[in-house]
Amino acid sequence: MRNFEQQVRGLFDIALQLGAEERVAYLTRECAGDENLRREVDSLIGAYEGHAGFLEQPAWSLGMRVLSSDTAEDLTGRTVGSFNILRLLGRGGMGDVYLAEDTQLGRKVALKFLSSKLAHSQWAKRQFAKEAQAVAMLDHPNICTVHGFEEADDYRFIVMQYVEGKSLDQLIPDSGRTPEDAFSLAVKIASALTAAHAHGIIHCDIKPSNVMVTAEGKLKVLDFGLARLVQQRRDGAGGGPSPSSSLRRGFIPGTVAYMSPEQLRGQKLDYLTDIFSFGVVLYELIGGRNPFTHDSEAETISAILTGQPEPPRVGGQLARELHRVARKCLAKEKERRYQSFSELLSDLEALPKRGGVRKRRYPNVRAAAAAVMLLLLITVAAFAYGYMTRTRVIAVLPIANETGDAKLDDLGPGMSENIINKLTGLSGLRVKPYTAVKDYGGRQNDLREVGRALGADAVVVGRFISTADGTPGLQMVMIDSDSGAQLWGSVYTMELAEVYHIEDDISRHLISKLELWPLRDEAVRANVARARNPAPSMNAVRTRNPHASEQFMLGQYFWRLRNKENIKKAIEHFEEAIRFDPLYAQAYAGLAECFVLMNTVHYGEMSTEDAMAKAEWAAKHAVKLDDTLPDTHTSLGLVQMKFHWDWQAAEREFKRAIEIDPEFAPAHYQYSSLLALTRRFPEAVAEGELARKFDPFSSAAKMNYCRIFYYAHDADRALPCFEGLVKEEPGYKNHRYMLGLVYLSREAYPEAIAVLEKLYGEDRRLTGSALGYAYGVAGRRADALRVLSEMEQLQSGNSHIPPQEFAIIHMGLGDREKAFAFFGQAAAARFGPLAGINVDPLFDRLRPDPRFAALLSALNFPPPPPR
Amino acid sequence: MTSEVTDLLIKWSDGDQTALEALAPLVEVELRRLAHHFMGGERPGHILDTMGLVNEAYLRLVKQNRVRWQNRAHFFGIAGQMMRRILSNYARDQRRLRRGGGALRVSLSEVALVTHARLEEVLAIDEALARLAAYDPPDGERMCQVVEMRFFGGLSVEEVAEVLRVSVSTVNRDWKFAKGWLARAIGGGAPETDA
Repeated sequence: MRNFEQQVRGLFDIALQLGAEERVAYLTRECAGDENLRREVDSLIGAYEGHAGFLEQPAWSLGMRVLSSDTAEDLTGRTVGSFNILRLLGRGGMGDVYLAEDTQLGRKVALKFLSSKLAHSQWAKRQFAKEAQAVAMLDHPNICTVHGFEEADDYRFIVMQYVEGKSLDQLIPDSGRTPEDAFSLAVKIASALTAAHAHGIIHCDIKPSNVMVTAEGKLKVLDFGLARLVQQRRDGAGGGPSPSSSLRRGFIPGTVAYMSPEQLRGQKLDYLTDIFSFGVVLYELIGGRNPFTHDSEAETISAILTGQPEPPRVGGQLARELHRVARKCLAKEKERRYQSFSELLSDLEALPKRGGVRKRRYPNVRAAAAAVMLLLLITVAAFAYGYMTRTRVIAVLPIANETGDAKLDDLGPGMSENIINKLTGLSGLRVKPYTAVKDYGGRQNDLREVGRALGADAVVVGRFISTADGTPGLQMVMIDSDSGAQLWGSVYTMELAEVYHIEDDISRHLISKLELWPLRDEAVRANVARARNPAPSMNAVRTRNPHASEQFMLGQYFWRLRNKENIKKAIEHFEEAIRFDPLYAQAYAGLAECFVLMNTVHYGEMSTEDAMAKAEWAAKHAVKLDDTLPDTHTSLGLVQMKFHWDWQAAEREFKRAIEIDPEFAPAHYQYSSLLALTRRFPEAVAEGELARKFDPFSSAAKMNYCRIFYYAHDADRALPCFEGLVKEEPGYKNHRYMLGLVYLSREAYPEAIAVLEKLYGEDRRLTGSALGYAYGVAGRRADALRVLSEMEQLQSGNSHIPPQEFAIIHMGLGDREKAFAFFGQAAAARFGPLAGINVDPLFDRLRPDPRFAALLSALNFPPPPPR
Repeated sequence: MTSEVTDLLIKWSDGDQTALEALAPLVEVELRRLAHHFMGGERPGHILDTMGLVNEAYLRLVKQNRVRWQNRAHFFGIAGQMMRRILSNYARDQRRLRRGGGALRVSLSEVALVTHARLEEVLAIDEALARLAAYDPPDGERMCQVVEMRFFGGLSVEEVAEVLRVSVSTVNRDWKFAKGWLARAIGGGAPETDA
């Protein structure tokens, strides 16, 4: 039985094939008085015949037009937000770009509008804004500056620097650029990408049309992160994992001929995809053509996946060298490419610039120098720790060249000077300046004599020698000037240096040499033993890039030697490590901890807002990169504790870190500090003991341990504890500062003032509040007011003094109103160390005040217990 | 990759709609790339509306993608659906922009005006198609596909028959009926023209 619709279709079909008269007869017969049926068929036939051309012209070309422009709108002449749009600069798959005038700032900018497809998804919008923010943080002469992301009048767009010039694809002649040109362009592009990678931004769409060159020859790389955004959008579009997501991932609208094999395969992308695309561009710069382009896209893809590019038909030394670099970038397996742009850059920079006769090159000399420097630092650190009670003097003599190869003559002194500069400024150590040692180059017969003449406790001397297989080697020796004993010595070949696994070898192998030293401290012995047989945490340096790992260790070294300068140095080294390996989770964790320290009165002057933003970013990034490391969880916990005062969240992170590695000292240390701040003193002591046990070198861990007693109002134990520490490490200011506080808590004002006055002479910023308070409670108002005004002067200079410091002085002066006003400011600014007020005896006088309870509640603490 | 795409194509032609979801982005990228190739730098002009270009585009696409697209029919089958989606989304965006930016002067060139009218038509067709799909199940859905492939994808009747694995005469019947049905749905009533 046919239903109504089937009847309609059947009648319609046959009726159309009949002439007018036959049709009427046919329909009249078939409908048999069914008016409804008849009307329906008639109306359909009428519509069919009345619209003859309907649907006959496919919408294909309309679609092509829409796809190619994505918007038929031309915004020229319009005003969007505060921008007057002047003219269209270009249309791309991602959206249109206009030249516009920023009427607020009176400058010309380029606006990149989100294509309508992207603009209407909330998700894409958020990502786009986030990405634009990240790129806006990049500040590099070869990166087109992104000013920000804006939404106005229902449009969404990125505001960026307007670069007037030509894109590189218009600037490469068929014969290619000259090798010198190609070289200088390549260096600029590579340095832009180095900077971007250091900030965790992958470009994903490096090609000549994304590189602009201005009339003055300035080069700017455009569109950072945008391609990746589209990629993410494609990943995210399906809403959860689906079998197709891996397939979708790599398909980015773009030019296939510059994509890496992994990009074409739709695999997950990392920084190495940019290395490949850069290689294609470099190849094109030299040879004038893309090495993979074929007539059909399929052939192009196949060439990228399996083909070997032909050498470009160009001669000359430099061109050949550049081609060698390009080929390394173009390795199909990403493991065989350069592993970072810094590595690539240093290779590029080692090339002979003018195509002349090439010097014999020792490609690994830089690596060797860095490795040696690290060895020295580690050794010297142990040296300094071994004699903490007085400053040690060390002399590093110029490295002599005994290979007979004149090329190495210049290298030795340069390396020595470099090492001296790096060592200078370490606490507990004085390094003879280069000018003092420069005449001691060459072979020295009696190093003890040299040491005595220079007034140095130890002398480091090195020489280049020829090893058995003809490669140059570097022999380093450190001699004790008193006894003439060799403290350590080693030979490194240049090849060895590059593959040297610092985490596995250098630290263990060299620190074990410390046994030769007069070790007076049980703790140092313990650490040497531990270094020789490291716990997993010490060994788990998760990078395959030896340069990165080396920088990381240097960063950790300086971080441990906490003082203002060293924290800054640590930040530099961690950032350097990230530059070598942008996926190095531990280096981000290290950075986060440094930024936390930068917001304390002891170590840094970074504002809370700045420190918090940076620390939080770095810590979250670290955990994202690797959440199986104790380091990353510790850094995140620290951020939760210091900036969010989220005690539960912080505790979770520390516990997780300890669960991963029960011997991870920093986690015990921070956890102990958290427990003390939250009044869980017995647990805090237990954790503090573990922190000391697993890192006996750490001055901070020692200080933390004694501080628990102080916080617990147990001055009888705190006092001898800190007295011992001050004797042990007189150079460590925090011990003395804490000793002053302990005296204060016992109301031993003269003793407190004596300690603090001396310290105030060395570090006003650190000590001012405690000293001012001490004067105040001791009844020396005039002195207290003097300190107050000196602190205010410091503040009005360039030094950021946390409001809490002023609160403490006013507290000593008995001015509660002012004290609470400043505490309020500190709480509003989320100044991390403010949390100490929960337990610190210094604040006991204010505890009964109801405003104090409010302050504690802002810190997420319960009200003070009745005393 | 190639075999994955081929697998997906086979699955899709076997009626697996999730395979289409996986293929859609690929096709869209191909379409976009192709569009940029043809429109690169040029302002849209009347010459682009000729069937010749469509054919050329198709041939070029097939040639370039012989690895991925085993046959013309599969490609155009998906291309049709994609094009429908792309065009109607775009048309909706345009409509929304015009409404949202009512106070703003919208300058449209003559070509753009034509485009505008055409876009409105496309949108109407898209909406009507959604209703046609529900007509006399399951045949309505097939008619809908026929329109997608013929109108949005530019396929011939024979090609549609091949993709859908039905006879040429079935496609012919579907096509004519759909045209009548859609014309009535959009034109707002044939009785007048009938009269």
